[in-house]
Amino acid sequence: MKSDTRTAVLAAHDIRTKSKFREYAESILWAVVLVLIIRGAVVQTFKIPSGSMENTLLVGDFLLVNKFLYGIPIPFTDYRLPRLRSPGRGDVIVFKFPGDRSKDYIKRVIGVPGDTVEIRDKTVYVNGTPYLNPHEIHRDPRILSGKSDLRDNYGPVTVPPDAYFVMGDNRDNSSDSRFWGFVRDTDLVGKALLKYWSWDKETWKVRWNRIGRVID
Amino acid sequence: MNQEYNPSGDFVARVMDAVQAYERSKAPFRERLGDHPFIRYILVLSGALFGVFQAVSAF
Repeated sequence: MKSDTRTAVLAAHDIRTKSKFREYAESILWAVVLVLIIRGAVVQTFKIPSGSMENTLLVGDFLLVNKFLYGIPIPFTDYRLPRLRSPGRGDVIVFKFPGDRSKDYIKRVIGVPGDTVEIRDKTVYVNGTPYLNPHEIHRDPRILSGKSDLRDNYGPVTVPPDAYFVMGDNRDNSSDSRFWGFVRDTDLVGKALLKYWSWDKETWKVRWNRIGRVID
Repeated sequence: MNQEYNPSGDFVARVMDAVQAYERSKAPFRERLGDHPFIRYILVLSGALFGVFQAVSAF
């Protein structure tokens, strides 16, 4: 075999070896990019570790959260891309907990900017009118006075601009705006969409009737 | 070599393709499987799905 032909054969073999490694590296990079784009701008998944939103969300529920409805956040800034709409009363939202922004919380929006929120003997009033939430539950029959605890008697407070008043559906067992204040607009993560999985670890069973259900 | 023989412009490329095809046929099944682009697409998709569905706690 002539030397130039031998050189060409060896070179072709080297090229094939390098291409295989590069192709796998590019494939892995594509997977990472896809994950970052989807989780950052489209949907993100969350799991429920507490019962503050029972019975809407149970411990062991896994849900999809819409990331672009309230505007996609621009990383490392407090700015967002234009939103389709702002959170409305009744929306179940995920947000950065004001007391520790490394933690995500999920609650229901009760008051939007400008609303006056008051709680009297467990009944929530928004702008003077009782706010009827069919999903709320009360497991404690006691009514606590506002002097000892803000749980059942609170306010009235006016929701500031670019902030929201949120509460858990499990009203007697929820750490929410009654205790730590409003959720800033910049702390919004997204709107809860649906449950894609539900696992009861106490009975070791899948809760099939909850899978695919829209969160409302 | 016959001095009147003039190989086509893509002669070397065609020879290389034949050599590589022969080498691929001699490679172990595991190595041949990894060369197939369908496998890489499956790996990318499953990796992306796993990354997307790795749930974060929301209290």
